[in-house]
Amino acid sequence: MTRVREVDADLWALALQAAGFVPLQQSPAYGAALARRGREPRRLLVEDAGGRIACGVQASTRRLAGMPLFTAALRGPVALAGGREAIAPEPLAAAVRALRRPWPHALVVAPEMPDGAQSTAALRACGLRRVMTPAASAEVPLAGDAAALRARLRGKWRNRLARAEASGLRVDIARGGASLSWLAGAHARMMKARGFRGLPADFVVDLAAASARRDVFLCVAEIRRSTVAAALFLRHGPTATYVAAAAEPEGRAVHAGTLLAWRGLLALQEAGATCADLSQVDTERSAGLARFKLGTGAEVFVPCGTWTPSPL
Amino acid sequence: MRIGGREIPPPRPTAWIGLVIALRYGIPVVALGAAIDLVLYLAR
Repeated sequence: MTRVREVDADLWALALQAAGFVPLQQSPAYGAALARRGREPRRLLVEDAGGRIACGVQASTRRLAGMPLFTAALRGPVALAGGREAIAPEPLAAAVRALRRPWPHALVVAPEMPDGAQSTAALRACGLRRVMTPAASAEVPLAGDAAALRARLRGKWRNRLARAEASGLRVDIARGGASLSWLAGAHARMMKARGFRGLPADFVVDLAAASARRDVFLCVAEIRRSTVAAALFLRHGPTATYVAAAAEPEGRAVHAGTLLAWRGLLALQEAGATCADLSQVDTERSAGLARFKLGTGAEVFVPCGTWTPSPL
Repeated sequence: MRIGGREIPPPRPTAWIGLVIALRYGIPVVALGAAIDLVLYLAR
């Protein structure tokens, strides 16, 4: 018999400590940032028959005139015991049942489980159908030391890093403040200029504000005391996520982005994070970014996609 | 495009998305419209 418990953000953060991998979208900071935008986050823990916490999910609901209209569990439910294997069908079904509400409410879940027959069977057994194919993500394991991390870098990436290191760029790790405002402005300008959609700049600021100061790793590169690039990593549970980055042309000319990503990974490794999630990779529409992310020696994780309850 | 020997496509909608929307929302909305039409017709 499974049991579903709704918990607050503090208990949720505690439960995530036992997880092998925590996506940013399941972190308390992400829930808090969504709440600031008027969404209603809910955090559920599912205990299996033995009283062990099997999985959990943070989902946010959008309401219209007080009526729950749409609930999304981005990169959740997530396994909270051990690794990122497929969640057992019963706890998974209990989590989905707890999130469902009567018509016209719509629910989408994107469980953090590997793509494959086992995940598909468990999700189909919950009465769900896949409505979106998976968004693969690049993840850098941070086990070992700096030398091991550097040895995993691809050749061209390592060469660019060496050039950036020799360029005289000054790199600092900030926790917010003026550097965060600089990054938000540069990130917004870059999205507009290049016509791509990332996290909105004000949401990035909210995410950093909702994170503990020690979990914010804002890497800033300066040339002659002027900021030319910045990259933001946020740590949550055992994992950290590369949230946003931007560079001015002077920074790009000396591969500042490469140096900032590297220094961020080193700082996270030193702080005890086990994995850095570089977010989505897509070799069709964002080949340059995919090449940059995969050049770090990242492994590709392909989840099981986005699912919704279906009457069929 | 293959990068590092891998081709990683972006997420794409599956055929189920249209079917689920049609079944969950299309049919009830059409039925509601038909019911309103019928009520209006009978109330003439």
